[in-house]
Amino acid sequence: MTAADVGGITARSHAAGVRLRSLSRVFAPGTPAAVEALRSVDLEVPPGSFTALIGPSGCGKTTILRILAGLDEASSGTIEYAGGVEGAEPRLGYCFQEPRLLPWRTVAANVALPLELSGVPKQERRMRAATALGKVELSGFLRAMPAALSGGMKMRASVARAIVADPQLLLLDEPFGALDDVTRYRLDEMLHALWSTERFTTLLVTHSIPEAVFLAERVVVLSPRPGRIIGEVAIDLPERTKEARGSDQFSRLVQQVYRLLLAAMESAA
Amino acid sequence: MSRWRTRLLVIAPPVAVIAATLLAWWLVVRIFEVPAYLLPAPGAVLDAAWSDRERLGWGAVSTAISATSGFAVAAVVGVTIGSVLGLSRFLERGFYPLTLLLQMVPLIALAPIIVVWLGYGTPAVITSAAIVAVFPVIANTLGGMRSIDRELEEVFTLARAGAASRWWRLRLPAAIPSIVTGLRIAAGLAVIGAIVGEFVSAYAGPRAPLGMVIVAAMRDFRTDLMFGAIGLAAIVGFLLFGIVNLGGWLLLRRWHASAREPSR
Repeated sequence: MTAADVGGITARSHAAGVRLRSLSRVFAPGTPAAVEALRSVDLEVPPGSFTALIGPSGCGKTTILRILAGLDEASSGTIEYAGGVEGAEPRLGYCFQEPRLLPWRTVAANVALPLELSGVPKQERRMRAATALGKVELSGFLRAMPAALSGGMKMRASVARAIVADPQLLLLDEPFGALDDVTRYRLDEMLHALWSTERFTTLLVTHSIPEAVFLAERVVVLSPRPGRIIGEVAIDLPERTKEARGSDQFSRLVQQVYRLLLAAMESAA
Repeated sequence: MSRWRTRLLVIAPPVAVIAATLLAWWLVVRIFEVPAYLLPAPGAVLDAAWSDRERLGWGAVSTAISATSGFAVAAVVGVTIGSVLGLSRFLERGFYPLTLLLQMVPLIALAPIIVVWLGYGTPAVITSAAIVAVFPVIANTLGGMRSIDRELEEVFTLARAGAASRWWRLRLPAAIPSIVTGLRIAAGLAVIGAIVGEFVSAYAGPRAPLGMVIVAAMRDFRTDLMFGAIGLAAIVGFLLFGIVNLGGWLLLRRWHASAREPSR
């Protein structure tokens, strides 16, 4: 399968395309505590695209990312990769809801960890960690300890760790959910700039409609548990700048996603 | 100025309490006319310690060397055993009850057996110190290894990290704060273990360790000298504890809350 088969978009050659087919996940099946988290999710993510997953709490958004990352297993369904992926799995970058930095390591050593674990030589590790930290505007903090950073800076370091191995698929699980709005907007702008130049295939899970609209090319809306895809909104913003947040088009798209989400929640209730 | 005030407020209370204790001690001896072989006055203890300074000095050096060596052995062996047990649930389930059981053995009672095995002399003293000190190190190392943050564990799962790598890069460093706690406890215990070892296994003589000085002084009804030796043993323990504390602080100061907050 080639990139064109999946998305019709010619992306940066190394970006992965993903196709989820009737992905389901039931926790503790066959017990009274069984929870159906995902029901038959079909999703195509073209190489180099930016897709946001949005839905109410507990709708299984995070579960989709965790299954893709190998942190969880699907109960049924398949995952196929396409694009520049050689072998079974793409190189992954994953950013958790929390920074999850090792407190005893410097920022640079934290960022270099994925490279270290895959056996990249020290010199190269250092260089690439410094480059990744530059991309998230943390160049001055290579030797700082995580405890010395603010919440937003820790999250940026966490993003740097996710992109340090030049991922073919970048999974972002509500990375800025715990931050104040001003910091969050700034990091969204940073993330957009990063994606525009690097074109990682990106899947973002978020609770924030404006964040989804600002960052994604496409917003996919999930229903309350069990999570199913109930619709999507193509985001055709001409530009994504601070000013664009105030535009009529931006508000219209936010409204559109909001109505879809509202309908999903009402249909479930 | 206020900096000095806060310092004074930190230093003054313990100094005052110690001074009051010495004063009470002196008063008790004075008022009840306690005979010197039962309880010598503080001044008499200082006098005795000064006139026997060479004997006590060598004793302290000898005890310090044994306690430090025993502590070092306990640290290496304890961290090794604790972290190996931490490697697998299976090993832990097998061995942990045994280490708990051994901890219940009055280790001090083992000292004579150690003499039987190793003969009289310093090796038996060091072994005694090490045996008494090793258990808190094992327990705290294992405790630290067990209380691993699942969230950090997932960072390693993402990278498909192997068990050895997780152990070296996650479990061991994450356990350091609790290992340091274990070592702090071990520092005090090592001195106790050394003194007890000396009671049963050391030679008397001009350079006999403090434990032996205490035993010899007991036979001579030299209570003042005994108090001097006990005081010195406490100082040895205090110094060892201080060094371990400093080491722990140096290790942890850049990342762990216990080292960053001001001590109280």
